[in-house]
Amino acid sequence: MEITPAVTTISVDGNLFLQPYEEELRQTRIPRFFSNANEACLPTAFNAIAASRASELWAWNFSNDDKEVLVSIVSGDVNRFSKNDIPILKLVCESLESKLLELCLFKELDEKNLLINQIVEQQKEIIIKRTSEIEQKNKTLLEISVLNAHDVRKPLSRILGLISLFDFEPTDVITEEVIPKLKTSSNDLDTALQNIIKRVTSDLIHLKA
Amino acid sequence: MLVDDAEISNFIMKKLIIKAGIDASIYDYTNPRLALEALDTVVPDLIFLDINMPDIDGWNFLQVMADQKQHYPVLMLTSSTSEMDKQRSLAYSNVKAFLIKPLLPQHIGEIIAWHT
Repeated sequence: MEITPAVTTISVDGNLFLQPYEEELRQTRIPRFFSNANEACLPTAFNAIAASRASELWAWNFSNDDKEVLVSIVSGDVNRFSKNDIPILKLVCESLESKLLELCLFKELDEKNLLINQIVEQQKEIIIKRTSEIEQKNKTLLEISVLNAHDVRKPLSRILGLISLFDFEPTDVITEEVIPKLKTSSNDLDTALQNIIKRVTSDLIHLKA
Repeated sequence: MLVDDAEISNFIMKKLIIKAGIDASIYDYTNPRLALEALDTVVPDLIFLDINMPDIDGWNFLQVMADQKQHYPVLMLTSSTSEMDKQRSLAYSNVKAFLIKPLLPQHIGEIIAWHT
């Protein structure tokens, strides 16, 4: 037996450029035999072999699940195909099937890799967006805290300044001038704190959104 | 000269200056615009200037002074503890110090003596 490499293009995506007898083989799944290989309209690559010898052509369809393997054997005129060659033929078929499976797996792997890359890119974009949002929120919170600290310090520094006058100002000045101003400044401090609470609450609600 | 939008702050400073025994006329303004106008007729030995004020803030005040080539010595007196505010103030050649409120009575005489 002579085993000639298959020249049929294997395409996962679709078009298989099959010979007419191969198309028939796919439909009927009945093994084909040509006593003269030239009758099978072999591809050009086989013409020289088929023409130079009194060759026979055997063809089988080995279907398995979703895979379909067509095997064609062109025999020489000296060593004809025989029953003893069947185990080798089966090995060839299994080898072809394994190769086909490998191709399918590679294709599936490529698709999965593409999907994974898309997911990774999406995750990157989400991370960049979220990081930017967090940075903006941190900046806003920092600005809020600085503004708040300043708003509190204004009336508080006045209160502390007024208290320092207690050490040397006469009682009548303290009673008539300093204490009323202390009350005013205390109220200012209370107002500032209330404003801060309102603003922080509002800002936090805004930041959570 | 005292320039602070809070009347109470000016009140405290006047009391502290008097307590320190500084013999000087004290002009206090809660409206910075009036203080700037007064600089046409008054020659201050020292200006205590607040930063955060409505209408004209301390920065505007300093800039107007610079534009009008009035180089009177200024001490920033503010409740701000911001390092940025301090650096920005000291960038003006006539700003001699950045003081944070409240000033202690025992320091006021020394501060004024040092800068006049």
